[in-house]
Amino acid sequence: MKKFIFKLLLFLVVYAVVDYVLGLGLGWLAANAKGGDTARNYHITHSAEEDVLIFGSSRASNHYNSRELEKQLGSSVYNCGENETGIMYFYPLLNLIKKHHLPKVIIYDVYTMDLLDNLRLGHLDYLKPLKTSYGIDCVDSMFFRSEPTSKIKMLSSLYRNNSTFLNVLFDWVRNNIIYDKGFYLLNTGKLIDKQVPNDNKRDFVYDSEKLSFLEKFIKENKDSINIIFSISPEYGRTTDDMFDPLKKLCDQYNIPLLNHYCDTTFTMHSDYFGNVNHLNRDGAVLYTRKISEEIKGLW
Amino acid sequence: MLFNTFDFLWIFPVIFCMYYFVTCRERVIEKYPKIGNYLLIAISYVLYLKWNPVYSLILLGVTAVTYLMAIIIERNKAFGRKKYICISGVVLAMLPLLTFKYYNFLNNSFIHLFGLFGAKIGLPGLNWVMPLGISFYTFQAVGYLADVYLKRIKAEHNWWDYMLFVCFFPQIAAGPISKARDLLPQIKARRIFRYEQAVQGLKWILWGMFLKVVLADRIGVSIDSFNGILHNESGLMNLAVCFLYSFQIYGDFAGYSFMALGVGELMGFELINNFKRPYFSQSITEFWRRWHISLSTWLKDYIYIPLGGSRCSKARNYFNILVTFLVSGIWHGANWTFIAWGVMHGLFQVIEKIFGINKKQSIGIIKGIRIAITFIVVSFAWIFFRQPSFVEAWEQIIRIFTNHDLTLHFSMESMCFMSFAICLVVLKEVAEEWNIKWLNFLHSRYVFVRWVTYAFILSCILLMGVFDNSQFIYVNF
Repeated sequence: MKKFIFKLLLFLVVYAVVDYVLGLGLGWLAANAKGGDTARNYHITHSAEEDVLIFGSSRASNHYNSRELEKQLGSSVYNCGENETGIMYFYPLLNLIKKHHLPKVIIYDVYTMDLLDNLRLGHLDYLKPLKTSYGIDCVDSMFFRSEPTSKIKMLSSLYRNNSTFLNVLFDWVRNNIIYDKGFYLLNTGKLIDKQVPNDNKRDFVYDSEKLSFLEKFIKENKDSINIIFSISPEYGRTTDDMFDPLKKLCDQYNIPLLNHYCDTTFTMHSDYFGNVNHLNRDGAVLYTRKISEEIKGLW
Repeated sequence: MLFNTFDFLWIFPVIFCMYYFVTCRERVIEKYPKIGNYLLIAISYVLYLKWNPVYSLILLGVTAVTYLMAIIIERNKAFGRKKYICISGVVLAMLPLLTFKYYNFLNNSFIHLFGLFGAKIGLPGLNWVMPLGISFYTFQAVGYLADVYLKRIKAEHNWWDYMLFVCFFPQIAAGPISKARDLLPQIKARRIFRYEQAVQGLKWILWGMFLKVVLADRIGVSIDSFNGILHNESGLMNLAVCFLYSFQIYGDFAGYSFMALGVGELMGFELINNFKRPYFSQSITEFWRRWHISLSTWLKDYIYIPLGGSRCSKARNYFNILVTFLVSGIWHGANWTFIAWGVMHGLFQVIEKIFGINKKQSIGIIKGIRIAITFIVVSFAWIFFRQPSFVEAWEQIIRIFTNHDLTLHFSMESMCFMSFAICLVVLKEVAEEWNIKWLNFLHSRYVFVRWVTYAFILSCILLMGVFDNSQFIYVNF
């Protein structure tokens, strides 16, 4: 028994070293990635120094053309939008960014992931892109909050790279150009299924934790950063009652809300959409121009 | 307790330490020789109670019924009366299984049948969750009762030993279905810690975990996203899903079985190995000697042989095979697709028997061709196992043969993960099947090679595993 336990412990110690070294290696690969998600994620978490940052889900990364915004606003812009994420991701992300840089403006495109409780994803899934930044207080606390066992799981640096290591490797080898200053370039399609979503009375189940983080996000940053909330268009929408809690928060803290959710310039034109939730590149350019004008009006 | 959960990672070491802390002490063992068994019963029931306290009463009920009935059978001298007692015991023990698993199916089938004649007759449906592992522990307990009736073993008079036989935690959720003559003697004997057995146990757990979280769950994540929309995908995509599911279900079930085997070995038990590289079978008959061995053995001992087995006319023998696999299909699930799957396997075996393929073992290229054909046949049969209805199963088959589009809609990342996992599993199984010792890194004679292999598999699990605590497919049966 003693021999068994001794050898088992010895293996675990040796493996802990292996895990640490491999983790360092993957970290180095991520830091030297030539393109793709890895380079983008590394830039956002470690070296983003742009004046204007775009936050939000995939709708943010698809709808806010950074180059166009830069042209219109005359400031540097980076799009930090991340697929299937929301406030539970952007709250710790901003704290992480603030460790090395204080942005002047944040344009936060709000969607269901920031408000509702009816999604298949748990809170921990939203934090996936931050796994590799684990080890910094503001990030760790969100992981512990979402799942207490992450304290143990995240000790393994390989676990932190779970599912992403292949991307890290690919992005280190080749320059995969899918983003331009964080803006997603590949949404060039046209809407095929033009079925208008049903806007009849819908019951929304709001996530109180998300709403409280949204409020914290405002309270902690409104004095040092210009926060602008925006809601980009969705195909065929005629009511925006889903965003009522956000409207209330914006009123309460005097935060501008640029609401284009039901903007008929877009919602009635399927040519501007790649799918019902996302504008395509043409739609994004038009939307970016429109919203830049409004932002300029705010300053 | 499911082995792919984080709970298992910390609860099992605690159980292991507690168990050996108690059973390794000579003084304690002298005073309380059965203390290890009591501890294992307590652990097994606590884990079951943690899942659903009420359903543990069913487990206890099935245990009590089969325990008492076995003793009554043994005490009765008249064979005829014994038969009725045995049948009563089997029916009583099976009642919860029949109710939970088949009530809705039978009810809906009758409603549908009566509906065809315009009659609206039917009972209200049940909306109950099925008790964890009910098919497995019921079959194990019923098998014991039949063995006592057939005088293959003596009735167990020690309640606690028998209780542990039915509820032993590594096998309760999804087997293996142990035989009383294999497991009860181990429960009765004093178990001592053996280094080699414990190391082997850890190897089973490590490899089982790889099969589950890397092979099965990675494939699961990729192919499950096409559920319900497969009929819109290309023929090649449908074919790929068909073959990938073969690997998914193997990884899922063999992964569980290997981990159960490993946990058993760490506790000093030798459980039956459910899988012996089934996809290297040269015929469907051989496939069932390598796939879910404990269930195949159960069906052979308690259905096929009592029906007359092969010691009867050819026609009767074919009928026996078909009935045995019909039961296998029904056991897997209350759905016509499972029944079709079972009957299909029965039919294939009858055909093999008619042409004498089942007994022939080929070598060389012929062997390779036979393995490939068997794999293709098994994979196509899995379509009925996987799809929720005949319509969807048929749509998938039709799509495979009629749509000649060659596009695959898997991401590059998932293609890499799946290919890697499949290659690694095939490599290991080839090494074992053809006994290529230098390729069998897990059992290399060099410590360095073994340790590097352990570290490699563990790294694959951490880097590629899906850690969403997904359910094991067979736990639902």
